[in-house]
Amino acid sequence: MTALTRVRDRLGALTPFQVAGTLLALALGALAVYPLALVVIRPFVTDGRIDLAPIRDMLAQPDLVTLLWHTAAVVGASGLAGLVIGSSLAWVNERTDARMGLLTDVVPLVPFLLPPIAGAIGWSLLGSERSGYLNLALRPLLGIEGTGPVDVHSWYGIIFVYTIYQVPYVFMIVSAGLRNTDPALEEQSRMSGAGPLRTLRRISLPAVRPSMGAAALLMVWTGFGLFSIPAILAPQAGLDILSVRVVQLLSFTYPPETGVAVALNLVVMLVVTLVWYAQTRMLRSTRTAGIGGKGARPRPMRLGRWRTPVRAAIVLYLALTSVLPLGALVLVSLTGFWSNTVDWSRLNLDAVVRTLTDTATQEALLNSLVLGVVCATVGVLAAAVVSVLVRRSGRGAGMLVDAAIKFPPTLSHLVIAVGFVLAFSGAPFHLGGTLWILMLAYISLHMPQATTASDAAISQVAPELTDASRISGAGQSRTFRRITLPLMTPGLLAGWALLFVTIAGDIGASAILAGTGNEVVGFRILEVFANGDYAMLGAISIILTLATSLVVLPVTWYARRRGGSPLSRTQP
Amino acid sequence: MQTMAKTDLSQQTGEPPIVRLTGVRKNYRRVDRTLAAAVDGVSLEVAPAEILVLLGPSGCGKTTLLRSIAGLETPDDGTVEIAGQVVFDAARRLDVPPEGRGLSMMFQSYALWPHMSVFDNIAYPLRSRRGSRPGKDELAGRVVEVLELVGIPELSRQFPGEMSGGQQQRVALARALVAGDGLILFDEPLSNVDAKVRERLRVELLAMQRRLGFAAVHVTHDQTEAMELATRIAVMRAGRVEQLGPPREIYDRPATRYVAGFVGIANEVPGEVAGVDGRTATVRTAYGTLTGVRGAGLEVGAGAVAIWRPEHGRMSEDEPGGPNRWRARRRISMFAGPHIEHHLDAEGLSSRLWSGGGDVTADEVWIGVDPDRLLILPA
Ligand SMILES: Nc1ncnc2c1ncn2[C@@H]1O[C@H](COP(=O)(O)OP(=O)(O)O)[C@@H](O)[C@H]1O
Ligand SMILES: [Mg+2]
Repeated sequence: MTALTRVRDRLGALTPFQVAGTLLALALGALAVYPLALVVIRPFVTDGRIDLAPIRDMLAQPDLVTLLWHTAAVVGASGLAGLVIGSSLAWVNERTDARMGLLTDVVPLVPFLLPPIAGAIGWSLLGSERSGYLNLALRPLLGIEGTGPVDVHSWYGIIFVYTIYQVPYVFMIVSAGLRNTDPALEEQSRMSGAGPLRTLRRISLPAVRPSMGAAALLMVWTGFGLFSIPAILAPQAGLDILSVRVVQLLSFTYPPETGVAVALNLVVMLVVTLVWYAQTRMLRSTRTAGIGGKGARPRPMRLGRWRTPVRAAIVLYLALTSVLPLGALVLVSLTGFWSNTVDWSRLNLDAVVRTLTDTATQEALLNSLVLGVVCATVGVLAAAVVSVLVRRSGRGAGMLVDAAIKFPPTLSHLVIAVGFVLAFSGAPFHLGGTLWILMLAYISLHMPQATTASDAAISQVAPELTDASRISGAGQSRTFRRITLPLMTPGLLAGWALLFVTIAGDIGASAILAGTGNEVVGFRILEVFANGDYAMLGAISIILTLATSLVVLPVTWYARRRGGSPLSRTQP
Repeated sequence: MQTMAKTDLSQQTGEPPIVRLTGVRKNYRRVDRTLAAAVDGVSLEVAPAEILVLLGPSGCGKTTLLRSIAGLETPDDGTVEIAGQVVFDAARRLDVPPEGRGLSMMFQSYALWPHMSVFDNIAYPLRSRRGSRPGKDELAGRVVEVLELVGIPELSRQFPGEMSGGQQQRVALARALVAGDGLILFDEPLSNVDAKVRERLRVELLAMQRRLGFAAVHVTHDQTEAMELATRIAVMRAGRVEQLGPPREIYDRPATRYVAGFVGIANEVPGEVAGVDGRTATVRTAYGTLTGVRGAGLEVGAGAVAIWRPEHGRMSEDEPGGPNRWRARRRISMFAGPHIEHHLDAEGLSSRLWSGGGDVTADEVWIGVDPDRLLILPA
């Protein structure tokens, strides 16, 4: 053995794949941690000494308790509702004869396609106490005068709209969990004499508990971060929501109270950490023997006389969450403005044409779609590499890198966006006002979703499949390209679709990082909203929804068809 | 059953062993954070063209040992040599990855890649090996050849998800064979199919090994499979090799009670060593003093067991001659096809005996065992 090979062997596990993957992981970690450090540490350090004034200032906020209570209540209640509705939809779709093909397969995801700000505006158009379309339609039917009957600017209204945006996460993750649970376990339970409800409670639910835990974590993440919904609905409802307050502190206070904003976010981070800890504990204590990997779709459970009511409930839910807000946006863009009466004879396409010919909007749409495709692709591929490495290295260093990538984005996107401005807009990078800074921020901010998807995808690839490749003489890189990556594809595609939609419709980071030089849809929507041009707002939302749907629906459909267990190629 | 027992490695000349393990140890951390040795200091050699079977109950470390040879597991201690090359040495921190070890493996779950056709699955090792990458035609030729060898030439365009368990097994076997490596590792490859298919595959596997001449390390917990396939068997217990030898030796001269009980059926008579003399030993038991073949590690006065196989006992109505005889009660007799199995009770001990015909009708019988067929082992 030559000295050279001995040196290489001494380096042991470090193959080129591991070197490249580790560098990539470190780069992603740095991309997440560096801007964060700038924005988080700066307020706490004055003259080279640690200064806890921001914490003091935060605690001194007169309405701190109200703020935390309102936020926690909205996130908690919508999270619970989302968990119940999302898992029920998933279970009905995966396991019972009430499912309706593509309709129940894909449509629960539609709220994803409607950017939250468009959804919030849609709901505002529908449910405003005085001139909401829904109220206009309901009042004559119920014989009510004046205002009502519904008011979306209220506790229940906000929780309802939050819930709509939480359900798709739960639906996606729990569906995947159910699809990968060996149906034989449930059939065995039925054979043992347990009824459907008992089977659901004793077998199906425990089997998807890890998925529900992951969904809960994701919901807490996104729930605290949602900004556009409370920005539009909360003030009139008299609710104080943390994300709105953070924006006020960052943008509408002079000088910006970055310190207090950051300190508030640390509270959120604490909550997320607790949930994350609980979820890992739960994962460790659950024996997930359910992954049988046979890939056969089980014979759906017969619901009997419940089938029609269940189907009706699903259709009603889908109509409520997708058709109504979209319809409101269409209506407002066709009427040209929002008013107390709708003159059906004077609908026109003026606003749509105005939007399509507006150069700023055109540019914003193009930029958003391109950024969505590029960032989603880069993010998901990088996440796949990181997941593979983390799985191989187990605990320790792998977990640390994983945490470095996943944790920073749990802070408000707005705070991190400020960090990106501090880090990259000036010397030496000079990326301010370019698409590059948006790209870096988008990728970094969405790594949690990307790695969550790829972690789930890799957990579906049995380790023997990669072992067999190594034995066959393929190195790590080839094994990754030829075996691991193709087998992860369904899960990665689902993650890609999620990333694409959220990035293309991003408002938070865009509000701070975009401008006239690097216009994106989210920023454009804010501009139009500030002008009070509801018709154009509706038109932009609808065009964006159509464009993203054209990309995402085929991808999602393909992923779900290919999906299920990668251990089996055939799906009856 | 295989009759020809291969001689010991030390008597073979020339070629180096294809696998040599010295002091291989692998620890796992249990949930309570204590260390447990899955493989506890194993040293053994595999000769070229030999089938070495690792036999033992589930959880005794067979898979871990096999994966250590493959390079899929990093032992904590010891060295692994393959075809004369050191591929793992804990002391020198040398660890050649699996793809550099030039061996093939068939997995218990088959580990077929669901996104590739049968053809692509089998061609994969040929396409992946460094250096000797064959041309398109040669590659296709080789794949077709092994597909015919394992008897599924018509399946080449299918995908693994579209095939029965038995067919998947053949594809996995073809993939292990295609590179023509001198060493193939098998991890319970026959455990997932029904008994009939298993028997047929066993015969085919053996025929293929004779024809192609590869060496194999074959893991199983099935003693019949071990006996039929093995050139030599290593009986494992809690991470260690308890006995290593040709099947006949393992069966006829088990070194310990554990081996005797794990391989075949063993009737045990407990007692105390009365005397040892050259190759024979005597032991005082409830049946009186018995004489048999002396096992290793016997001490006069210490506890011992006399062990005999069901087919080695003789049953009669009249008292037989010879030193080892006792009276027993016949509880039940069952016709098992090739033999009749009798369940006997004597002095509170139950035992099983196989006889060829139904000559004995009485319930009170005499049992006799030839001293050559009675084995005295430490308790
Ligand atoms: N990854 C692991 N972590 C902890 N313990 C393990 C692991 N793999 C195997 N073991 C333990 O090592 C022992 C040997 O396992 P294995 O080699 O799979 O046995 P066999 O193949 O003989 O059934 C078992 O007790 C098992 O619990
Ligand atoms: Mg095993």
